[in-house]
Amino acid sequence: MSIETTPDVVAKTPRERSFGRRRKIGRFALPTYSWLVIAYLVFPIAIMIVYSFNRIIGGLQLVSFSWNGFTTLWYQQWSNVPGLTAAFWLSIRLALVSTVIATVLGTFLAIALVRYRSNKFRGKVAVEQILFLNIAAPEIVMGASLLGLFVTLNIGRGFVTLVLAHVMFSIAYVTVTVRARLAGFDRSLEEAAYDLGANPLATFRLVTLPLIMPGVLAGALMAFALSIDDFVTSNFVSGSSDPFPVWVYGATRVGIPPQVFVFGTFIFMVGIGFAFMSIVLSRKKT
Amino acid sequence: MDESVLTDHPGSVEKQRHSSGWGKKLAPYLLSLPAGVWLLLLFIVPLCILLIQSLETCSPATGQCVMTWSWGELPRQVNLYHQQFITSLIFAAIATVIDLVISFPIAYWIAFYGGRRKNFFLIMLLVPFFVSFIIRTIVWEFILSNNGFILTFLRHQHLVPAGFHVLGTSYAVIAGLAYNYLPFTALPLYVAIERIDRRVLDAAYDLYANRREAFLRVILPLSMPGIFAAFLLTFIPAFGDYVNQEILGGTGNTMIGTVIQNSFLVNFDYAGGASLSVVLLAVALVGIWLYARLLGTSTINEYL
Amino acid sequence: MAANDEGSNDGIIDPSFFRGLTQRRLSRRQALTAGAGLASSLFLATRAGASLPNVGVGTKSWWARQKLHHDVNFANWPYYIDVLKGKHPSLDHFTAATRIKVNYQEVIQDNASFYAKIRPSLEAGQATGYDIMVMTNNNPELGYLIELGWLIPLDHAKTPNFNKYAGPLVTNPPFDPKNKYTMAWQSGWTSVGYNSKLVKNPGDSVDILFDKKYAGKVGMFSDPFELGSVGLLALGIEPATSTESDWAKAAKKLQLQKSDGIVASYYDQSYIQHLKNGDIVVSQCYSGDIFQANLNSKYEDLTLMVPKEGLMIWTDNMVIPLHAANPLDALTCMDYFYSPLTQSVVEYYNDYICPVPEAKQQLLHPKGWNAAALKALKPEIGLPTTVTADSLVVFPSAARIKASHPYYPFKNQEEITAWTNLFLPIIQGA
Repeated sequence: MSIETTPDVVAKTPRERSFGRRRKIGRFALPTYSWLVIAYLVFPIAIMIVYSFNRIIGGLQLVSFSWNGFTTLWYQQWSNVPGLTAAFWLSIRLALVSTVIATVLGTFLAIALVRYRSNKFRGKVAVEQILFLNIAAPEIVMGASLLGLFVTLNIGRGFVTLVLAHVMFSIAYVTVTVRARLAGFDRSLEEAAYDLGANPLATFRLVTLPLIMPGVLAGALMAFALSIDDFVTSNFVSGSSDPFPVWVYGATRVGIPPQVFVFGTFIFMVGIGFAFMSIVLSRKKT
Repeated sequence: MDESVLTDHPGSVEKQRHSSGWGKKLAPYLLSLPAGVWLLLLFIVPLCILLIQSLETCSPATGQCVMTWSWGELPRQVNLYHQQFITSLIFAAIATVIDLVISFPIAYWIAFYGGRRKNFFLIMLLVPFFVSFIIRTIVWEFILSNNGFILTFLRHQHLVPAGFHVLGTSYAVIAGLAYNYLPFTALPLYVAIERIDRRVLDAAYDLYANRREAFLRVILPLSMPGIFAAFLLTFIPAFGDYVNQEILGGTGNTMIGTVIQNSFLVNFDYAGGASLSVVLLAVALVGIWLYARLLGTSTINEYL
Repeated sequence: MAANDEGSNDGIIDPSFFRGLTQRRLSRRQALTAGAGLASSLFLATRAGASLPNVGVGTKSWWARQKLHHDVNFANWPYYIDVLKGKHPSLDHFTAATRIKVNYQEVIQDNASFYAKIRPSLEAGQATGYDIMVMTNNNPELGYLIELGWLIPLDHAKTPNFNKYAGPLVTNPPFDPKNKYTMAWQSGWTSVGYNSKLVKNPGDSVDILFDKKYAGKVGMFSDPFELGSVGLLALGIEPATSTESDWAKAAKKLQLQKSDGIVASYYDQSYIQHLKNGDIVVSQCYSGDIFQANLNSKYEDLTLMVPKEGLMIWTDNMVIPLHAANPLDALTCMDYFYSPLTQSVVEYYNDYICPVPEAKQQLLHPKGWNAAALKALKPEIGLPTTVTADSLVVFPSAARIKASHPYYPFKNQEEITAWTNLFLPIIQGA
């Protein structure tokens, strides 16, 4: 393997040597493509945001997809549709409660799965299969089965049943996310803590938890997103009050009020906020 | 894992011996108990109840079910709705393949070139899915509608015939499915590609492999388990989806999810709906079993 | 009225209703075993002596014991009551006059899903949280509620407005003789709606829905009871007296309509969006939707057809569920909506078929509190009250009502199942 050098390029590796000019074009292809994909994903959201500023003329106050002029009226009257506002807050409360529970349960399960091999943790393989099944199972099957459970046991459907359902489908995602983070975790730090006299609880609180916190937060974020967007399962197990997606689905028959787009824009902005926070945090981490 | 820590602190070995005992033995079980119980009671048990319900006879009016060992219900339902199963299968498969093709390059880019901003890009990939997918699908319905700006523009430019419409066709449904399930494909692919050891790739280049060879003979095989996982994680939920078809579809492309939803929530035909759900679940289980057989159980969960 | 008077029958669906439920599914062998006995008792009544849960409730003495609590929870369909800047003038006046607060919730999107929500409470013998609910007579759920004894019988000594002003259309309907459980909220027609700009010669027959000229642009209803009924009408069969073989013929015709590619999709009430968008040009429709669409000048071209085969007529009914917390307040509220003054305000917004014929006069010459309300509503609605008053879809003539077709009255669950088994595969078939 001979190493050539050309005057205008310094320290070329064999890889770089092989491609030369083609590589320069190739360098732009992937990023361009990726941003195009992100644009495609954001496209309907952009339309939603634009039409949340659309005026509505005559008749019922329903979203009109023909442009009638700019207005911020719907942002001022954001709480004018009583059922919708209640549904939105219900979804927020539901997402917060189920996220907290799912994150705690999922984190503990992740620790158990990573730390202990099968001989010390009987049934570990079964648990992993169940987790995969939970993630992969079609939502309609989970929703229908929960409905069957609640009907059989004569449990009235409401906020509690919604929380039960949402935690159920979130745990697996939290576990998987935390476990990914835990797998690369350096146990020597914990060993050091033990050596310095810490008991397991303190070790967990002061050493382990802060180090896996990014993974836990990522899992929590995942659980929150899943809960606030969930439609199918919620449709099956919600009682007299509907979460936000179920309300919107019901309203699509006659037409959705523009406040739906206002709430959607708000949720999207919160998500963008998380994205930018992650940049800030990752800069700090170096 | 740094072994030197242990050897530098011989005392730590003794310490471990002291603290072993009941607590340590029970630890994995105690840690996994809450989650395990929750999943058992609210995931596994309802699935069993679903299996049982498919054998029962239920009253639409009261919702009460009685066990009548109706083994014939499942074949009867499958017979009635086999076309919808096939439709769902085809739509989900095509949508998944589309998603795999779209996601692979972007997952590759983020994994290899994302650098410190990996998390940012991943979140950007996820953020559109914060907004309720009902809203997203409704907006797609508008975008694709006959008098929406895209189709009107295309018709004016004579790029499409006058009577061309997208909404109500199978293409609209597949497009909706592909859009809504993209993150289910992109994330496992990203995890799989990220794990590829760069040094293997560098070795390939050192051996004078060009781009195409490096991709086909190094990257693709190494990410194959991830691809399979991504396929499963997209196909199975898409198979049971119905909202996309209800909003974007028309006649002749009903998916099995719609039938199940109607059975449970409109006709109160619980036994029929349960039977169909059991078949849906069986499809999911077959997929997972295939994965386990081909790639080994230990790797399943690495790509989640 | 072209009603189906069952004559001496207590109700359209009689108690053998639920015995029929088990017979179809169980084999003969199973029916002979003890299991069948268990099954039929479960459906008939788990209460002793096969008595319904509302025995003793709703009698004169029971009503005499009820007191006003000044609160009522009213569940209704969306866009079904007057609204002015987020408030409801009719309800506000009710509260001012009676000091009864109304918690008005537009939570009913369709009969089946609402029934699924309230059924668990009723099964468990608990309150649903609603005092007034509105259920349509063309879906089985209203029948289920009546036959399972989950509604409180009404005391018409306490409904003076109803007794005086209720029109012939809503008095003593075939599905609820002597209005034992129901008082109509509004009625409506299911007919054909079309875009007059895009459909040049619509004609006057429901055959337009089957016209190949509009292939791919025709909307049909996804409700099997609506779909089957229009199929029967198209064949010239009277739905209320049709037989199972008639249904099979209708199903054949509808299947052909689908395989010929004429139907764009089977819609619920969202058809009106697609009619407005131009995705479809002709569709099955509800009379009030077209009227409300016409209020927006952009959709003036949408027209309601009155086919020569006739229109299907349905009624949305106010009922009081069992264990309601405030039954007397509910009854008072229900009767309040039979005052012509109240109906004039509601109807001005609604434009479905008014249950109170005298409201027409009140629209033209308001004689009380409604004058101010109508005046205030005018800018929101954009049309003078004369349009509503003179509209034949809001105040139809007696002849028109007589020519309207009620839905088939199902005698038992087997018939319902037979009907849905014929028409559901068309709607959700591949």
